[in-house]
Order: sequence, then structure tokens, then C-alpha cells
Amino acid sequence: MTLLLRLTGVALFLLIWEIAGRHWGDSLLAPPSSVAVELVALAGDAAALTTIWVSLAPALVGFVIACCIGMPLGALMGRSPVWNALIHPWVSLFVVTSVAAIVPILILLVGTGWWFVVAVVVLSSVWYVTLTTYQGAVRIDRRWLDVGRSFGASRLQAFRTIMLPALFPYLLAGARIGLVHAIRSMVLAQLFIVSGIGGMLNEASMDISTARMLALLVAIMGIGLLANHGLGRLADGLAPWQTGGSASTPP
Amino acid sequence: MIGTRFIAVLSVVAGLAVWELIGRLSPPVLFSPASAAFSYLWHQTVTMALPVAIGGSLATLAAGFALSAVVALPVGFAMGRVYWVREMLHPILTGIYAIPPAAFIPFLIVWFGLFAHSRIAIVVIMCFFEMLTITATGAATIDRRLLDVARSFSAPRVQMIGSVQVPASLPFLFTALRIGLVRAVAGVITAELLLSPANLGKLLLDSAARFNTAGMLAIIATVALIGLAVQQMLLWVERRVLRWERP
Repeated sequence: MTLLLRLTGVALFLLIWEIAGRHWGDSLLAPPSSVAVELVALAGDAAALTTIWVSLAPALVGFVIACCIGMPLGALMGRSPVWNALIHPWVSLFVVTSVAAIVPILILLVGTGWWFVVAVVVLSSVWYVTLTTYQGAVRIDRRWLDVGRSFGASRLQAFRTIMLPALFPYLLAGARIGLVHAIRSMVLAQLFIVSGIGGMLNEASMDISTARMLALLVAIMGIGLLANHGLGRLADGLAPWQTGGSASTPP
Repeated sequence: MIGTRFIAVLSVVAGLAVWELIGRLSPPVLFSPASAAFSYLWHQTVTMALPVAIGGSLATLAAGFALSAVVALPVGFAMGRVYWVREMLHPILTGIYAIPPAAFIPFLIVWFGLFAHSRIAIVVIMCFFEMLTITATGAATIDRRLLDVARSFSAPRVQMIGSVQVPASLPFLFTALRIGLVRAVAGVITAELLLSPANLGKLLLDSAARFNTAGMLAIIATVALIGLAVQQMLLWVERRVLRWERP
């Protein structure tokens, strides 16, 4: 029943899009039939695939850096009220600051190369990773740590066997949200400096037909869904006791 | 709690001091001290350039945010409460949600051009799906017991929605509005920078063109403060409306 409804939903969506596309024409809204043709062409275009792959690399690097900074920072904030008071105001300020506003000065500071995209990705996603980890660290029950201490667990042991498993769902959620923002800001950064996927989108927008542009949007959607799914799979492998990790619902 | 608040204030002051120090030590084309940024802000306020720009940006923000909220909240609510609506829209929304909002910008330019309409459209795209998803999740997780009580007293459907379901999902609606509003601020700035420069985006790009890092940092700070201010404003409204949520 659920599957049927979902398929109906998708079919209806495609049908309305097709009718609207035929009505307005390719120049305003290419129908799915022509987008599908473009998509096949895109899949066969080695140069385009290389461009997409090359532009994903800085997003992944930036995402990993953001996790490496954000997770320990969030855990520290969650476990230490003093550090929290010191850092929290800045994190809450930066999380509401649009990365787009920082782009012009970043271009001045690091140029428009590979590291520019990395910097934008880090600056946009690290706050989400930090705050989500913080939420988890704050919720760790004192009693669990006390039990560990009563049995003579060392600091390292307490961290590895009590805090880490308790934090895990939050680390995962943080990584998920961080990844969403990493991909978003990657596209944003590349639109500014007209390179990679952003450059391809820009080039496609010069076409008279919107088919190629929409095909690129579908391709980006695929990348986003795949990345999210992959992260869920990885989490299932790392912590099989945590169920529901691979659900692909938006955070 | 006074202790931690004191540390927080101290941290902000220390941050400004570090900014000042780095600004003074580095060449002005790379980074400027806080004092220079403040004097830029003061200058722009006196000449009315800044208030006009902020006003223009806020107008775009209000238009785009209102348009999204008017559609996203009812549709999200329906998605959360009605099984077939949820299941039919779910795969499509999951897909669209996976597309970075910025990627729609070239497409929106084709439709709406480079000026005010397009800016509003970008704001809508940036905050619509966020609000829709949160509202739908909230509406789907209303406490069953509340609904059961209403049903036991055989409340009519209108009353059921009006006096049970809507108040019960208000906390989520506010969260949706708050996160949507912050995303909308990001949308305004993105639009003002990527389309034909306007308002705050224009001030930022003008500063960038002259390597005026003081001006750029000042505008970034303004944008950050606008984001923080709108968020706090909604939190304040939320606390007034949702008196029953906290003692």
C-alpha cells in the first residue's frame, strides 16, 4: 500500500512536470522526457563525469576536516560548562551566519582554488557537527560515568567504552547534517567561482534549453541521496547495535 | 549560572580583542581590526547607506519567508497528519531536499530574471523545504493520548484540528519558522551576491572590489547579527505564545 502510494506520487509528479514542460517548452521547463535524454548523455560524457568527481573531492575533504574539528569540540562543550560558556556564543553566532556572506573575503584570503571550496565547506558544516555532538554529550547520564569510575575505569577507558557508544547516534546525526551542508556549500562555492559543478550549471544555464540544467540537478540529487545512504551504511557497519541508521529521511 | 554568563561575555570581549589584534598585525588588504569595521559601520549609518541596505534586504526576507511559510506550514501539517498525503509526497520531497538550494539559482534566473523577483524566489527555495520537513515531522509526532481524549469526548473534526492538533504541533511550527527564517537570511545574502548585486550584498561586493576588508568584515558581522536577531525575536514570540510549554 505504502509503496503503491509512493509510486503514484512519483508518477503524478512526473506527469504534471511533463504536461507543464510541454506547455511552457524546453526553454522554460524541459519535460522529464527530454531531461532523461540529457541525463543519459551526461552519463556517457566522460569529461563531465570527471568534472563532477573532481569537484566532489574538496567537499569530502572539507567534510572530514569539519568532523575532525566539530566532534571533539562538541564533546568538549557538552562535558565542560566552562568551555561551553567560552565557545557556545561563537558557535551560535557562526551557525546563523550565511557562508555566502563570508565568500568574498575568503576569495581575498585563499584565492579561488581548490582550498577555497574546502574552506567554504568547513566553515558551513563544522557548526552543525559541533552543535549536534554537543547535544549528545550534554545528555550523557552522569550515573553511567559514575558506574565506570566505581569499577575503576581509567579516563581513556571511560571515554572509549561509555562516552563514545553513548555519543555515537549524535556523532552520526551530526555527520549526516554536516554532509548535507557540505554538499550544499560546495555547490554554492562553485557557483561563485564558476568551476566544477557550479561551472557546469552556469554553462548549462546559457543553453536555450533547460534540459541539461535540470539533468544536472537530477545528477546532484543522486549524489546527495547516495552520499547520505553511504553514510548510513557505514554507520550500520561501525555500530550494528544502532538500528535505523540507513534510513534516507532528511534530518 | 551568573558564572557561565560572565564567561560567555568574557569570551565575546576576548574574541573582539583577538579580532582587533589580528587586524592590526596583518596587512589591511587581508584583514582589518574590529575598530576599523565599526568605523565603517558608523560611516555607512551616518550616510544612510547601511540602513537603506538593511531595509531592502529585510523586505526581500519578509516577502520570501512569508510566501514559503504560508504554503509550507499547511502542506507540512497535512503531510504529517494524513497518511496518503505523506506517502505520496515523501519520495519527491526526499529527492528535492537532497538538491542543494543554491543549485536551483541558474534555473530561477531563467524564470525570474536577475532582480527583486528572483531574489524572493531564491529565499523561498532556501527555506521552503526546511520548514515543510520540520512541520511534517512535528505534525506526525503529536501525542496520541491528546487525540484519544478529544476523540473520547467525540470532538468534531474541525475542533479536533483547531483545538488539539494545531496547538499540539505549535512547538514544531515555531522550530520550523525559526530554522526557516535563518535559512531565509542566508538566502537573501546569497541572492544579493550571486544575482545583480543589491542591498547588503552590494555593499559587501563594493567593499570587496576596493579591497576594503574592514567594510567586508563589517557587513559579515551585520549579516551574522541579523541572523541572530531574527532568531532571538522568534524565540521571544515562541516563549510568549507557548506559555504552557514551560513552567
